[in-house]
Amino acid sequence: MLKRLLNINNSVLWAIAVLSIIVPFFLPNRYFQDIAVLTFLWAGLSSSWNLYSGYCGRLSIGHAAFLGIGAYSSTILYVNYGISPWIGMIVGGLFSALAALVIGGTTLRLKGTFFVLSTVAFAEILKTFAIVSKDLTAGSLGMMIPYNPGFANMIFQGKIPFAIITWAYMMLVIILCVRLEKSKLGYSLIAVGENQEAAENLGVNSTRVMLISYVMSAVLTSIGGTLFAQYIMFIEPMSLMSVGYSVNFILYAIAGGMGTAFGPMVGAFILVPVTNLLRGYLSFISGLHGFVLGMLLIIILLFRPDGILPQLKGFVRKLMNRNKNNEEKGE
Amino acid sequence: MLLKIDNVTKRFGGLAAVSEVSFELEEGIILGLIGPNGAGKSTLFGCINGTLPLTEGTVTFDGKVISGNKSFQNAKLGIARSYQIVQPFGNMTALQNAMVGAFCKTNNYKEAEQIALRSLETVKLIKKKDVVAKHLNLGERKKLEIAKALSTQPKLLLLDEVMAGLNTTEVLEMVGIIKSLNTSGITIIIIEHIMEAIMNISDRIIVLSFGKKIAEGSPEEISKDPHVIEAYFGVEEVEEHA
Ligand SMILES: Nc1ncnc2c1ncn2[C@@H]1O[C@H](COP(=O)(O)OP(=O)(O)OP(=O)(O)O)[C@@H](O)[C@H]1O
Ligand SMILES: [Mg+2]
Repeated sequence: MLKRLLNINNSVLWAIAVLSIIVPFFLPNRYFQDIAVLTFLWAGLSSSWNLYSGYCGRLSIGHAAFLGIGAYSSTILYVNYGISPWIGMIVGGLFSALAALVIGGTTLRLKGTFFVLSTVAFAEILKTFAIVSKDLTAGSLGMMIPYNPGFANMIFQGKIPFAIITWAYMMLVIILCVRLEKSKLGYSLIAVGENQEAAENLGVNSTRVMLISYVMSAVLTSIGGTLFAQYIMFIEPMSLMSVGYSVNFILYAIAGGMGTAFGPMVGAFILVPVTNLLRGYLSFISGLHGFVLGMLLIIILLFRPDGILPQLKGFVRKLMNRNKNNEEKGE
Repeated sequence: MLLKIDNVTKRFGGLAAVSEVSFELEEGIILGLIGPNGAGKSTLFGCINGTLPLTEGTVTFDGKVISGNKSFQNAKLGIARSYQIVQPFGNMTALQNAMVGAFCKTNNYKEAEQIALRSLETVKLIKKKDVVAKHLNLGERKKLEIAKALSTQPKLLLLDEVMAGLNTTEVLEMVGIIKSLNTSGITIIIIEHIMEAIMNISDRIIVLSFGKKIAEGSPEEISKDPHVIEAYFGVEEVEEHA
């Protein structure tokens, strides 16, 4: 019974995810469409983060590093060598996989805090590297991607094509997370997060399990990085690899529900539009939107430490139970 | 011989928690492991399944030297362990807990689910399969601890005080469960302080005291052994009996 209800819940979430692609087509102008693209993109990015940190419960607070690797790989290849960003996206993914293997291989085995700190350190090192290697990255000036529309260049007129691409990206990551939840890797990963020694006793090679999902998470984030660069058409190390961006990954996931396939999407669907609209409409006092957003988050986390999604599920379940009870009473 | 412990020592700093212990275990039996608090029983389990690296000695399982292995490697070979202090995955359901173990021998989701359901059935926890582990009571958690281990489809099962804290009815049920596991072909080493239960259930008993093996024999022999009485009741008691 419980299982069926949860399935119904999940089909609602599936419907929201799939049907969300319709939204940008009905938005009145580019401003709102822009928000839609950013929402899909951040839903995908936060879900990528969730794939490792959400399920395993070990926070990577330097995920902007992989965003940066993805963005810089494709942009350097495209701007300096004319190589299609689609190929750059794959190259960036490979670099991110390599980076994740090295960092993960050396730090995942260690206790949680050390891993967390090393992820920040890694993002900072990459940022510094991007600033210093001026020949390659143009340093802190940043890199501009010339506007030259075409599918091969991953540059489009209007926002709709990018809405479709970023939506597809979000769907890809969510589908992977849903499949993870029904797989050996997913079960092992969650178990390691809950109790590493107990998991090992049951045959789970915890280092391997964490490494695999950390690499997957890094590659998916890196893909989002390429999309991000191609969409904004300008990248610059200070903001791209900032702690602020790293925090976004975590924020949406925690607000929506860490370690659930649809949680980060729910978080991003609410918070990204709210952030952007507040920024737009509360611009008369600078910093006011940040204040309002902060309050909103505090309220969410104070009342729903598990995030919005588990709460929503509980609510739907209650609703259905009440219906059932009413039916029974009626009979 | 399924298991061979040869001169195993485990030191924590200066303290020898397990000291030069040797014994052999033939397939299909239940071996009771008893001894006063702090005798090194749980530590010996850690040495067998690979949770704790040995200081000295070798452990041979199924003809292979396994000392030096990690616990996940030994789980794959067929050694499973339940903890004295239960270690459930608190936010997963009972079924999901058991499935983590089941994935030890299969990559297939449906198969893992079947294996896990069977384990929950065996330990009589099937009714609670969809309950999140942190909401189970102690008796149920003890059962879950066994179900998890059982789901790895072990040849050798190490049970560490699975009856501690249970009431009389629950103890009797647990004795039944352990006997049925053994009947199904699993070799068992069991640590227990409840003497009636351990004497009733074990084919053979080993006694540890201060890390050393002080006696080994049938339950009858052990209950008469002066060394054992000394270890449990102190020196004066023995002198009186002597
Ligand atoms: N990780 C550890 N580090 C240091 N000392 C330890 C460690 N684990 C156990 N010990 C010590 O080793 C000795 C044996 O402990 P162990 O838990 O094996 O005893 P036990 O026979 O299982 O006792 P009990 O019946 O109370 O469970 C004790 O003195 C204990 O304090
Ligand atoms: Mg013990």
